[in-house]
Amino acid sequence: MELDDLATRVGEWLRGTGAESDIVISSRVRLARNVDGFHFLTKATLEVKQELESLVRRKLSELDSPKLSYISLNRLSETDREFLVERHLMSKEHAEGSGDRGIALNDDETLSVMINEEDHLRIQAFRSGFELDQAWEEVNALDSLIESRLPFSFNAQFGYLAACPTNVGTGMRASVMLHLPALVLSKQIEKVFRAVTKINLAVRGLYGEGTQATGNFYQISNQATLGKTEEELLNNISSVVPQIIMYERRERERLAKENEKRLEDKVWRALGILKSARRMSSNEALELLSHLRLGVNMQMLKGTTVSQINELLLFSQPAHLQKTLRRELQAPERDVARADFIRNALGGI
Amino acid sequence: MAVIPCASILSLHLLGINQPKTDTRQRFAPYFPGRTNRVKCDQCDKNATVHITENLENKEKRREVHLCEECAREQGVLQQPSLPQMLGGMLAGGPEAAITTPDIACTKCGMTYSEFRSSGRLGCSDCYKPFKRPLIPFLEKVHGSTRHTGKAPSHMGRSMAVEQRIAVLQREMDKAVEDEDFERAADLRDKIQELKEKRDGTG
Repeated sequence: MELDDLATRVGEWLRGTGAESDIVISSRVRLARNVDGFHFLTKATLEVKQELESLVRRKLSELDSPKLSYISLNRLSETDREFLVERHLMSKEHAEGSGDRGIALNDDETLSVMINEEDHLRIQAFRSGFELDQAWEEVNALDSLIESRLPFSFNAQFGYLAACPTNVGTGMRASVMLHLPALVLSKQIEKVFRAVTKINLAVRGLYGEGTQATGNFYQISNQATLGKTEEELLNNISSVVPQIIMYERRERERLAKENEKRLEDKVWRALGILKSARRMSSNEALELLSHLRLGVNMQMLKGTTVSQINELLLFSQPAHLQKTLRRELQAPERDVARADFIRNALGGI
Repeated sequence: MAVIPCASILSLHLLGINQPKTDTRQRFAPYFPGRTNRVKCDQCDKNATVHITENLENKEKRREVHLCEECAREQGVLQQPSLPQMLGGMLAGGPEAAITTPDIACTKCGMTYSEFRSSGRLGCSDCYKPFKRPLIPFLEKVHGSTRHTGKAPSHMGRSMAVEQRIAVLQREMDKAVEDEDFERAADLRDKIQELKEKRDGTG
């Protein structure tokens, strides 16, 4: 698989389809697994890391379905690694890590396996929209398939043994990415967070732990991984998401009714800046595209679609921009290139 | 920009780690880029986005601090606690625990307990055995449980599956009792009994 092929299209998570996809961007489930008989990576020598990488890689290549392509991170440039992070195929830590490590993924980027991240394997499934159960089914099947060839560290009391005890047990982190502009505009979002954290779920920004919720995108995920079945943990998230969706929809309706001009102003100003600016940071682009996305979802804007905006959201990220333009750019040049790129794309509205 | 992830704050909160008492606005302030705030920063002229209410020693007096993000970061208020810091704090468990937990080491990989405490990561799957005692209260706090009931590798066989089924039914029964649905609770109790008899070969 060539990364340049990926650079011509959006990943699965931004396709803009699936249930509730006006508000739920994507659903993701990942499993932390370690190969039995090997030290965890904290205590693994370079030789052991190398051995692990080639072992896991070989085992994955034996799979007929799903067919996974392997990318070794050592030979990738910084931009290429960042590119995979922007597509949510792997974590920032993995991109910035050292030693033999890699990522295996299928053609439509719905499945990926990070090798030698914090654990030996991080297996993940991604779906567009609110489709956590399907994501779980897919990741569960792939996990069982790998496990039949590669025994994982498991203990009857603690379940799957992870390098960090916050991941032990199921090793599962399930998350749903939400776009909640109306709840942010009406300052109701803190209430949602309070309710969510009360039932032991975590709220994070666009790119996971420690990142900012730019563009009103939030990820909600489970905190606990031990003591409940995967289904119970998924149900905990699945039961709260429809409520958040309902609150967001209600706020959108209320804003449209009570504050129509404020809302319209927000959306049209965003479009005005996006269509006219000559320099734009990726954060500004995210913020403005977020308002545009709201406008499209509320049928205020014609001539563009949610999937086009999703695509712009992804392709205005630094590494994607550079891959598209096929050259390395420093931040100030990138801001100019980004403004040009977005202006061209939105010219028709 | 570094941001306090809610997750860490929540865990800190759950785990009773000493943190400056902050109102929820500080917790979530970083999530609201562009939001305006009328209070000025105590240190400079910018708008304050971080608001801290500190309970002073005599508990009657409170001190309010308002800072802009830059000054807050400069003063170390907006620092994100690292996972090892969190783990270290939790695993230390007060002065008594420090005395009763000598620096044990894993015989397989050589990881010492203090090494684990500072890195937050275990060295191998065997580490779960020597560090079990201090890990149990930690797992209880983070996960609310110390026993896995989810998926198990197929080679673990049927016994594991039955154990899990029992655990799940047990929780359902507790829930039924809580909801005062005693008929359902009785049904579940019978099912659990049946599974236990099968497991122990007494059925």
